[in-house]
Amino acid sequence: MNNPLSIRRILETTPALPKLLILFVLSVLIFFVMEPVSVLIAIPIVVLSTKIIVKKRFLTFVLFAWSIGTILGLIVGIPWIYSGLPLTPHKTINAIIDRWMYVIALPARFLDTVCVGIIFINTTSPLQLINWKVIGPYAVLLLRIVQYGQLEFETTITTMTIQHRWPEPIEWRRIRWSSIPQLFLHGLVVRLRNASALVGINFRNAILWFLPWGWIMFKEIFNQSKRRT
Amino acid sequence: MGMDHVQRDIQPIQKENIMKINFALIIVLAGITTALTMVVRIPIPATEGYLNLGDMAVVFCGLLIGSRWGLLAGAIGSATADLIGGFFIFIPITFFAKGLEAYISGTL
Repeated sequence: MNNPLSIRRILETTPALPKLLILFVLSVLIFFVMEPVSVLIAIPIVVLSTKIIVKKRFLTFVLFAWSIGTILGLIVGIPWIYSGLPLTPHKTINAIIDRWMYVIALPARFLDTVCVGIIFINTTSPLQLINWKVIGPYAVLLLRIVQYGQLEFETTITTMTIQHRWPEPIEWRRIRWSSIPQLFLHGLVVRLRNASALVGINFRNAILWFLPWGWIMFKEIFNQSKRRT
Repeated sequence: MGMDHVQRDIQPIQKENIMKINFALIIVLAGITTALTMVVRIPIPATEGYLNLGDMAVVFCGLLIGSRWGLLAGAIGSATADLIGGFFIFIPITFFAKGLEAYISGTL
């Protein structure tokens, strides 16, 4: 009954505009996402992400802009469907019903990507997840370590390039075409030889980062979230 | 006199914290697996998937912390990479397959 993540609870605690938008998004996702499996997976993800969205005014603005964009896109798209011009360069769609489905499902797919990619990594600070009692600190740690891992990876590759243990990026304008197979093979051999070292260095650095300092801060976060509740 | 304050500050790890450390270490390894899967991404047009360093990271997870914990780390890491990358449909398959991979590499 008192599950904080239930749809009814989310809808009760949100103001009117986001409520309408959330209902619209959910209905679009349920009706126009074609694969039943992806519907089953998408619904809980959308519910969880709306729980995060409604806390931020900026994101409600993004959703508002998205819905205006959807309407404008339909206004432009409906003549486009019957004009016979190509909708996308990647695929030729000829049947009218397929063209309708493509145009209607496009904003849903766009929102899908935006929800997952932006909300979970860039726009939402991971600290917002702390309030989820048991999972919260672990989720914060996961997002933080993903960011740290990406930075660490780039730094390690630069270091290994300086040590001649990783191939330098090819400058396509300067090389001769005849030397491409040789460069490709050389790069492949060097990568194969040193990829395990690259992965191992990343793991080592992450564990070294976590065990003295990361753990102390993680414990502090745990205690803070306990004090709040 | 010299090291007394240091010894006072460093407390022994309590029993209830050991499980927390284990879980947190799993999350750390899972996060690194996610990062390695996401950063190097070579798309394959035939399968519409992508090739990455994630498999190597999953095997490392199994070898580092054993089969059971490695299973969790590899599975969570790869599934998170799919979640962030937008490959929804593959999340359950990835979770199962990569977990099995880490488990096997841990038992070898």
